[in-house]
Amino acid sequence: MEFWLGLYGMQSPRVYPRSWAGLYDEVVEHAVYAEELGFDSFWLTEHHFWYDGYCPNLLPVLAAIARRTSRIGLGTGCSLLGLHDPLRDAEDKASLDVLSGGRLLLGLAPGYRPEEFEGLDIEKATRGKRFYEAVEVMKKAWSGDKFSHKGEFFQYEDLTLDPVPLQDPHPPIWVGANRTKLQATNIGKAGLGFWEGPSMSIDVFRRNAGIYKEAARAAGHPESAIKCGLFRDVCIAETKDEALRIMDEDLLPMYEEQYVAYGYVPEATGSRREMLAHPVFQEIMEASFVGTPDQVIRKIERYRDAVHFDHFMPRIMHISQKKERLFKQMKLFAEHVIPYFKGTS
Amino acid sequence: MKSGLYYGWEGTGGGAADAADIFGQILEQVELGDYLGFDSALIGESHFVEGDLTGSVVDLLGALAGSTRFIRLGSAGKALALQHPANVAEDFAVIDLLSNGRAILGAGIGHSETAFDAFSVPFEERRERFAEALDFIRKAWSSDAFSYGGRFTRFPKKTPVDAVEPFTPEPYEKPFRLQWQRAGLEPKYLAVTPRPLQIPHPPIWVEALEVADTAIAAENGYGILPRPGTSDAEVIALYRSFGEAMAGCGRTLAEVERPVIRDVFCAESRDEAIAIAGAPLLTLYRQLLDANVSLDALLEDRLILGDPDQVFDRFKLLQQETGINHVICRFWAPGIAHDAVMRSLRLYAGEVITRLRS
Repeated sequence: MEFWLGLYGMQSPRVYPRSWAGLYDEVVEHAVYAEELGFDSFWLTEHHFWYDGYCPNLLPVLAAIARRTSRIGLGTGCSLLGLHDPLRDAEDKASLDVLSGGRLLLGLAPGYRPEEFEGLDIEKATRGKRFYEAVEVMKKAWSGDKFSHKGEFFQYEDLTLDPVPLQDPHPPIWVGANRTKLQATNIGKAGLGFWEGPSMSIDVFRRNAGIYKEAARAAGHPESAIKCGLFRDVCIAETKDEALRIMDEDLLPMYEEQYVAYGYVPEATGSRREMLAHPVFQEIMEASFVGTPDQVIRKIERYRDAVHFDHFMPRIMHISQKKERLFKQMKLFAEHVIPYFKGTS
Repeated sequence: MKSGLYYGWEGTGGGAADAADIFGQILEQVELGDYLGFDSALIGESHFVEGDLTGSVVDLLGALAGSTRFIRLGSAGKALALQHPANVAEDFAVIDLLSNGRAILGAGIGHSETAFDAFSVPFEERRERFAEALDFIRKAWSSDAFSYGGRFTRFPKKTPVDAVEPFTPEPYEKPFRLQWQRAGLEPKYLAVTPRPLQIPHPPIWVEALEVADTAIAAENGYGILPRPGTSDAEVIALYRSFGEAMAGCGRTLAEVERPVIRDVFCAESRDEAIAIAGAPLLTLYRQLLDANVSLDALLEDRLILGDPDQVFDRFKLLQQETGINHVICRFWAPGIAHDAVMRSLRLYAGEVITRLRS
């Protein structure tokens, strides 16, 4: 089993404002520590035009981390391909793979926030088709052969990319899944990795992973291309009470602020308890892995019994979390959970 | 006078060497340069040009932001027209934050038709697109939420095109108090975040090839960066016209940094410098300039190869004629060994940087 540590967006939220320069300074330090602890990869996350300064380009940050680490994988979780020019993306991602010695891991997603499409002048309704076409363009470019492409959104003639990624044929691609059956089918058809989001229940995961695998096999993709990853919010501590306190003080304030910002829930007018009674928060509380190392291990195993997966991303980093508490959780996870699975996997 | 390092992509591709080696050499040289007291490192841009690597400028600058402490990091002649200007503003804000305020945006109109074709941008519109992108980026870096209705950029999408005043800052009495309360509504204004660290924004240097290019820099109060490969006489002419354009706008050259890129190699003797760097630079210029050009002609007005005294004297002469205050040196080109460059950097730092500063 591989453990991916996520997800850093260098955000300065209302609940815990900080200097952006400080956040960019710190993220490198966190990645160095994650490598020391034995995490397999370190993941950043992208959005645009967001009030908290959410990181809009992950690649220069991953490049900085690459130069300060030697082994840890470098992940984009997710790179919003629906908003990018796939040709420039192919260039920048290839260069990063080369300069990091082949450590790039690609989580890709179409993007969903309306502001981003409005800002970059892209028709949001076309994002699904645009996304899969962009993946095709990048794969063609990464072949290193002279390529042409005549698609609905992108057209190229006789281009040859040099350099191509160090990993052959290209860095592993994962697609962030939402809860729809259609998305699961499309990821399968394209033969890309299926990466389950943080709030879906075990039943949705089982159903969508099944749909994904079936679609991938029907499209003739080899078994080696069919892979599932799970992404969960994790609050881990020596006692269950402490873990619950972390959920209450770090995890939930993040969701409260971000869900208001996304427009999923109205701004709180009543008590916090009323707000947390909203189904989106109930879903998060149920889906998150909160507890002692043993309890977190049991949770992972329970999900693994439902769907076989070899990649698990604990999101220990919550934007409202103080560094000391975060490092303590990273250490607990690395000392107890990782060896348990590395030993048995 | 300050000293910097410049890297271009000419002749790096086509299997001339391993891309990983080239990236590694560039990174190591700039890291040494940071330690030795070089003031800047600029990286040129190339897309799909035959014989060049398409090396990612943002990736290399990001890597260097992580591994250096003091040296300023920038692009050179980055063709702004090839991408959405909001993305350029975002990328260089991230590099500025990662590097603790060391980013420089070396921007250019773009001169490679191949690159414009690859990105499906009309080459003949490059000048107008560049001017608009430059305007947009400055607004993005120095504003909160705003809208922009230019000829090529509508930000957000519903903003009318070609407005008389393309830039509109969000009014104080606005319909939504904060962005997180306007979610789900169609935005009228957006903010490009995060904002860079430098105030008012990272320096912008406009690549200059023709006398006309200096006008846009002067109007905005930006510096110019004569295009790599220009002769001494061309640099002198560009700075003369830039000085006049600045005066015409009521500015003086003292307001801006005045950089120039030169091909430099510094060794114990002129013969040694020419033995190491002469042939590789001759090959480079025969591709760029003229297939029959001789090394002697290049040494006359383009290349600065010599012992520390000779290099120093050439810079001082150029400074007297142009008023430059920052020499950005291409020590490395394909065919010049990495070890030789590292030695040359140390020699230059001890003998030339120290004297140029005093």
